[in-house]
Amino acid sequence: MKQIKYIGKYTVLEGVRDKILYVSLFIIIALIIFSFYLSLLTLTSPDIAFLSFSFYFLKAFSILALTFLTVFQLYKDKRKRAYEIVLTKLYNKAYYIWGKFIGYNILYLITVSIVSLFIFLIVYILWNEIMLKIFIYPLILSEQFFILSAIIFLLYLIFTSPTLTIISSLAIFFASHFSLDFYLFTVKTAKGLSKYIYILLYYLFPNMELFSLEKNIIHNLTLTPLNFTNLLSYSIAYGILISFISGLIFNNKRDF
Amino acid sequence: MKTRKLSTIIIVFLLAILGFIYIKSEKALTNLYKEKEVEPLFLPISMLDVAFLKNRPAISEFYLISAIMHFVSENRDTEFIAKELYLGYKADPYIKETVFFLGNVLPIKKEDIEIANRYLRLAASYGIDWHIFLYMGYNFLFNLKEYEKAARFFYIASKLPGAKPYVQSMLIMAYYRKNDIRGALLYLTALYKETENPARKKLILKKIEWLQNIIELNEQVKLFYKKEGRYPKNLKEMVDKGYIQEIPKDPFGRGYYFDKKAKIVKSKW
Amino acid sequence: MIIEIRNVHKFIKKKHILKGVSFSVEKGDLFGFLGPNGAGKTTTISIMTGMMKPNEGDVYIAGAKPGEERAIKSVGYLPENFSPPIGLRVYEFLEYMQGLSSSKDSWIKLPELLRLVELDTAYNKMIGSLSKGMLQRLGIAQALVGNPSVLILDEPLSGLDPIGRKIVKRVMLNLTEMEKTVFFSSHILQDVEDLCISLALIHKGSIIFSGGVEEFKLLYSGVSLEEAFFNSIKEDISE
Repeated sequence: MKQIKYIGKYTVLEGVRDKILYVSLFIIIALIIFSFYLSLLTLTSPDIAFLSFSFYFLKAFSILALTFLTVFQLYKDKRKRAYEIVLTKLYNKAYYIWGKFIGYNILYLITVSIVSLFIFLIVYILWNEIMLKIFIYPLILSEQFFILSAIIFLLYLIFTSPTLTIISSLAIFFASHFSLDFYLFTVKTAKGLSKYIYILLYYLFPNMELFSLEKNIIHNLTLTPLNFTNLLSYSIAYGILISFISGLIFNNKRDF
Repeated sequence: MKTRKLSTIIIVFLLAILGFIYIKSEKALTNLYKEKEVEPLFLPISMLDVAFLKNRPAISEFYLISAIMHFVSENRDTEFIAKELYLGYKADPYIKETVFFLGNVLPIKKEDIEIANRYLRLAASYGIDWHIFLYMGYNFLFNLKEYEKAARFFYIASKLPGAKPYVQSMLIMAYYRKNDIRGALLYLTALYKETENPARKKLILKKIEWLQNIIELNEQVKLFYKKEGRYPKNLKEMVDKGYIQEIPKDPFGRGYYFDKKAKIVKSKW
Repeated sequence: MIIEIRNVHKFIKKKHILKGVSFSVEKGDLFGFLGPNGAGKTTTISIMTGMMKPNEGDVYIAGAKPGEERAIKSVGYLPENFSPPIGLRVYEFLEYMQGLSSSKDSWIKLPELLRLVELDTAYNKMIGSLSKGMLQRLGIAQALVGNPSVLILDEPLSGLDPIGRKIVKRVMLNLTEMEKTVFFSSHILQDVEDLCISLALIHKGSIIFSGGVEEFKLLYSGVSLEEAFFNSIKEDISE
């Protein structure tokens, strides 16, 4: 367990000093500033329009940035065999996967929290509003990344190419926003064996639409504690399940 | 060997628990969605759903901005703009500015009003909101001058949750424009009984008095026509000839007059 | 014997890479693992460190199999082309390695460790700013954090300039004085001749010789190790 802690800690430290993260943060903040100008083009009150666009840019680009960072670092370690010095010290090689998994998730939470703070400050400076609800969003995004990163680690074990891992994981992330639509349409219209296959596919892939709560946050609609607990348990259960399986597969590999 | 078997069993058990938690939370979050016969949204509202990752407020804002840009451009296609606004409303019904634009800003020519109303009706069938019926009422009242229809829409709007009090004033105005003064009076009286707020009650009473004056004056105009065989030149003539004691005071201070064309007494609105 | 390799066979993508490799290393020895490029040196080392599993045969490090806790605690490993994370500072990286080995300040403080490998001035430096020679010494330092009894170094002298090579050789000799067993691979015969008492020679996946350096020179009629080496693989060269 201690080994997982150290791998996680130094993954965060390495990630924080990575150029990809800095450049991505800069790009996201530039897009948030651009959101302000977009908000001037619409009829709605500018703070609502600004939040809508900021949330979008924050979600899309933080997911992109951290996916690229995670995959590039993992494959670089593999290619340069830099992970040998870590793996040879581990009592269970799965700790490498689990430690990295925790590390990259902490890194993601730090990144989106920083950007959310920036959004909060802009709202305060421009419209003199203290919108604490903004800080709900990084928590929800982190839950989504928890699921996505678990999938990334599984794909890392399958593909030897970082490009394939990135494309596949982002494709799954995008497509899983439509899981429920897929379910409602296919399960209602399909018959026999295909119906059960669709149900299996639905549960195999995550349902990211559950986390699309921008409307609720922006318009102050209800976000009950029960909903929050269910979302949290959903993401934790799925994420741990997949990353646990990835760790087991990694530990049982014959050759590294 | 024994410890290995035991740890395998524990691992499988823990994985099963995680799987159970996963499915349980998924059901808790989506049951409502699945139970309702929700219209399958499999074909997304647009590719914007994909691009914006279902961030509905952002999609709505995007449509609104796009509609505004098209509106101010030279080759304006009202049908296209109306569709964009309707899709924007559908994406996020909490952003009312889409239907506001649809109902209040877009209709310039008569053809535009028909288009706007058609999309407002579509918007209403997607998600009922008092704003939609209010704007439809506006179009019928001010642009198309179909007062009966306007009154109907204002009535529906006034009954929907969240409707502001001024909607009821619009309803009364519709009745008035329809020359159905008695209808307006009946509605006002019912409203007076319903209202609890003393300030509002006072205002409604004023309106009732205002309308009652018009009704009474019109009754006297009918009597004048019956006896004199013609309509009066003005209200002063009716006072001189003794049909009315005096021109009643307009509680809103605007004053009454006889409209020779419409042949009825009106208020200087 | 602190290291024992018995009849190890390894297939990689259906190619028979290691063909019954057997040798052993005594405790406290400075042992050279010699062989031309592609002979199977790195594969053998990967099996010794637990990075690969043999298809057949046994490997014992300090009486335990690679991957077992006892073997892990006994081994300090420096891979070929050692590339630590460039975003970390030297002391951060060593603290990381200490944490993994559960040995924070347990047997040696970091400044002393760096002094051992002649890197005293590099404590706070970013790893990305170190020269190749300094990196190799850092690699030896990280291999030492857990106070292992066995050091396995894969090509520790490759790519170094003459000064770097001299320093690393000095460090390696110091390690044997600390009663550590040093097992290193090399294709540079002079280095093996300078440092080692015992060696094993691998060629095309088979161990050609395992034993003392002088014994090898005698057996293959070589005045120098280089001559003996070429004599031992003479038939293959002529082919």
